[in-house]
Amino acid sequence: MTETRGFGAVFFPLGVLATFSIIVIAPLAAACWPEEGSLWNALPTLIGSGSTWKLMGSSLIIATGASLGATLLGAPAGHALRYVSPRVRGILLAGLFIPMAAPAHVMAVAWIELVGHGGLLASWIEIPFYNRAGVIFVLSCVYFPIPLFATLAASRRIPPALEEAARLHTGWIRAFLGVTVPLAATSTLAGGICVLLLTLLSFSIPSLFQVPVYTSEIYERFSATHDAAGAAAAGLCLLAFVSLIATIAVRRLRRHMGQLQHTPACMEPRQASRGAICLASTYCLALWAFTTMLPLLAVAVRALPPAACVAAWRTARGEIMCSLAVSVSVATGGIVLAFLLARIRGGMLPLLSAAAFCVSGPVLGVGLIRFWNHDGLRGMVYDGLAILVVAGMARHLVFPHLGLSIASSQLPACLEEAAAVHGVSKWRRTLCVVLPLLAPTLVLWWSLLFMLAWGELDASVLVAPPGWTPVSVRLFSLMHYGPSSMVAALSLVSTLFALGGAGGGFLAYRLLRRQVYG
Amino acid sequence: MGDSLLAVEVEGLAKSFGPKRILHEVRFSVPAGKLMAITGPSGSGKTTLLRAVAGLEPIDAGHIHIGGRSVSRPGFRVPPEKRGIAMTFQEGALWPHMTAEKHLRFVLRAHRLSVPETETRIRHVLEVVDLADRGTARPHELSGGEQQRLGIARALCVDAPLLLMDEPFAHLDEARTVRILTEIKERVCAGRSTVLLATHNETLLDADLVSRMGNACGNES
Repeated sequence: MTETRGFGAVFFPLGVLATFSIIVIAPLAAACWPEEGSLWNALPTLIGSGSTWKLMGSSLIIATGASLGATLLGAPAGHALRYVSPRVRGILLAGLFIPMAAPAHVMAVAWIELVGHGGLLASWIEIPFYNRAGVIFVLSCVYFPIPLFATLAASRRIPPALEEAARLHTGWIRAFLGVTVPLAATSTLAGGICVLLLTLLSFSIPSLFQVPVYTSEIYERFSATHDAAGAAAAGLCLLAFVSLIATIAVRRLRRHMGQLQHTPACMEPRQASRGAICLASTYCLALWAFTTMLPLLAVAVRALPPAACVAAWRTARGEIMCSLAVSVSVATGGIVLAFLLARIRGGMLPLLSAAAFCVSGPVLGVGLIRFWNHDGLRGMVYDGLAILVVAGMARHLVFPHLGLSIASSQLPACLEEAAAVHGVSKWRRTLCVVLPLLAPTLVLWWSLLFMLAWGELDASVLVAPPGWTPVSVRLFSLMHYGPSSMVAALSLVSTLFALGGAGGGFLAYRLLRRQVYG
Repeated sequence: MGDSLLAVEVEGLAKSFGPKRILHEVRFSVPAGKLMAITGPSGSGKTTLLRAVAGLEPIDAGHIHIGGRSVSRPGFRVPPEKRGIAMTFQEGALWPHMTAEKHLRFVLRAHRLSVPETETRIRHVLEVVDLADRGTARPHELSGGEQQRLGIARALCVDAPLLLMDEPFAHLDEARTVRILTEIKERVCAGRSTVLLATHNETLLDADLVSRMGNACGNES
């Protein structure tokens, strides 16, 4: 469609695309094409090697186990939360979100401090953690909020009349199992598959537990033997595998997703017996205590006396400040870029953002090194804090990119059209109509991106320049010498910062949402 | 804009959404300073026609001229903000983060009016639509009828040469409808505006021209 277009309308998308290319596409391309021909030589060797399949099998076993574990823990809580009063629900949701808000490696440290060798409960119960079962257990406890939120979102869309119609003929257990659970099952399954994909790409927890998986092999290939081509080939195989699972899942699940699409978002069940409410609250509280409070309490006890925390703060102040600067920059830069990308609506761009995440952190790290480690301007970026910002943005941009694209597409088109027909220019429409309406979503994604950037380890561990070490990398290095009060104190401080960012962002979201939508 | 000049001219307009043909061979012309009612049953394409004239929908065939200037033809479309129009939307399209006064101020600022004139117009238009005491209310604080009147106020405040109105009186009582219609007709009689008004009910309108759209996607004038 030819329109009378101004200078800005033509060059603005080009500028956004150029920025996206430098941050996401260039390192991705550099990772996937390390040297002419070398990737294609490495690929057959990799596929022909027995250890590749063994490691992929190990990753798949861990991912399947963690996905099942997280779904079994999270889905009942998702259903249970529907029957809890809205005020208590908000508090419980915030509490149950903590395992995901805290950096994954910190939760691993917390579990080791609780039931690992020399842990708080080691004299009563010592679990041999350094194996696949240990990794599956910790990953399940970290990622169960995903199926929980997916189930809760779906179950709140079920019209109460559907359950009531079933209650006319049967008891509440059969009504729940026959109507509520099947209607929410697709969403629960989607949450479980998300966990499967995330754990397949997980590097830090298996690495801390010294369990060889596919992603740790990629990291080893580059850090130990500088085999960039081998790492890239392994990364491409992982990307292909993850894409295959995601494509099959989307195609299979899409068919069933429509059944609750046209119902309002929030439907409270009309009546729940006191017993049901009590059971639901007890389960959620028990889950919160077990997966969140117990391990974090172990870290807090290990970090005692308070002087140890002060000492940890003094020792690692530089790392904490570095993480803070990087996280704020990643969150701010990422949100601006994601918003602009959502405005220009490039069809393939979200897929490229997803590819940068799915190729795994270590491979993206290799790509960042290959693209930025040169003389001149690129060298200046590579030698400073900026490379950590670029790494965080490249790795996690997919989440705000997809989130804001969806939020943007769900804004009623007539709101912008109403401004257009009254002579308001595109710039003012974006600034005065779209931006304020998306402000709550932007703040929410800012805090989530801050949280992800704070815990970012997989790519940062390869690119962190001398003198600029984030807390996550420092903790990862310290953990190789085993648990200590310093590790516990740093973990505690790190968790507090991550929760502070996430909590502050969520409160700002609630406030803005009330202001904008009343 | 003189009376002899056509304010809107639509020739051979066609529009489909996928396989569904919404408009086919639509043709009409409206002289400047006239009120034309577009009537027809639900689904006959009234809203799509107004959206095409506003530049919110690309067209498949034909052409649209506004004030003698070609603004839409297949493969070419002048953006809505450059057509010199104002419009009321069937669904309201009110901005949830703005108060009633801010709605009008935001639109008037785009037309580069001075601050005193902006404030005068806001007061006048809010009085016309009977919302003078609701200026600081936001859309969710207004009733359905008040929301509809705010949408009308937003369209009236800019004094656009072409005013497009999509079912503007659906939720209004007769007294208010008559009062707003009087204001609109005064503008039309003074030659300040040309109005295209889509409605189910033409009895109240006393329009200069009536275009009836049938289910067969065509029209008769």
